[in-house]
Amino acid sequence: MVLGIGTDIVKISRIKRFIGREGENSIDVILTSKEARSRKNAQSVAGVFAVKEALLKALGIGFTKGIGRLLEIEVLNDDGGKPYVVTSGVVRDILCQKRINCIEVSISHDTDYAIAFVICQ
Amino acid sequence: MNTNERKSTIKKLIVSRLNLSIDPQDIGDDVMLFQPEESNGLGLDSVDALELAVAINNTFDVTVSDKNMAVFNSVDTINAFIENQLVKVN
Repeated sequence: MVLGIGTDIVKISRIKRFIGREGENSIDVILTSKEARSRKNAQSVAGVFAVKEALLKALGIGFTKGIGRLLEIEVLNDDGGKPYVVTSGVVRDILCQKRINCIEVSISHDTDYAIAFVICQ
Repeated sequence: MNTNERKSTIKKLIVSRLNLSIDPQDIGDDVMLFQPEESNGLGLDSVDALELAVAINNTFDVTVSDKNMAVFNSVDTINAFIENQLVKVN
């Protein structure tokens, strides 16, 4: 049963500007250290940010629980490159409360935009 | 830095970091930053929130708590948060 859906679109140049202006450490508010090892460019970071935003929307909380929730959603890739999500902390607690045990993720990029779609089951 | 100077700095920060094409002085102290423009807000979004959080942290040497995102409601609330942090430090 579908328990939530979320989508988000991010302009890649905004993420690029953010990283450029605030320095590489600024990426620490978006990516976990594990994510940062494989996300080296703004397009990839924008895709991950879009997934996190989409999931927060699907859970109905957005940024109201703090930007720290971004680090409780880890977007990784399986051997075939398919993205999947690992959660922790408050986000994990909300997923449990809503009895969500499966999160499907899709990311796409084109020119200056990254878009993500999330289904919670 | 007094309250008015700090609010002015916050407004300049919002305009410059978020590339807004408005005069910083036109941002009312109590304008809701994340409300849609149709509702007389500034219409900021999640990427803006991210940029603003890092910019406020770096400029005023404070740390915005995850427990209180309401800090970003308006220039007034951002200013009150910074003042509160400074009081704690001193």
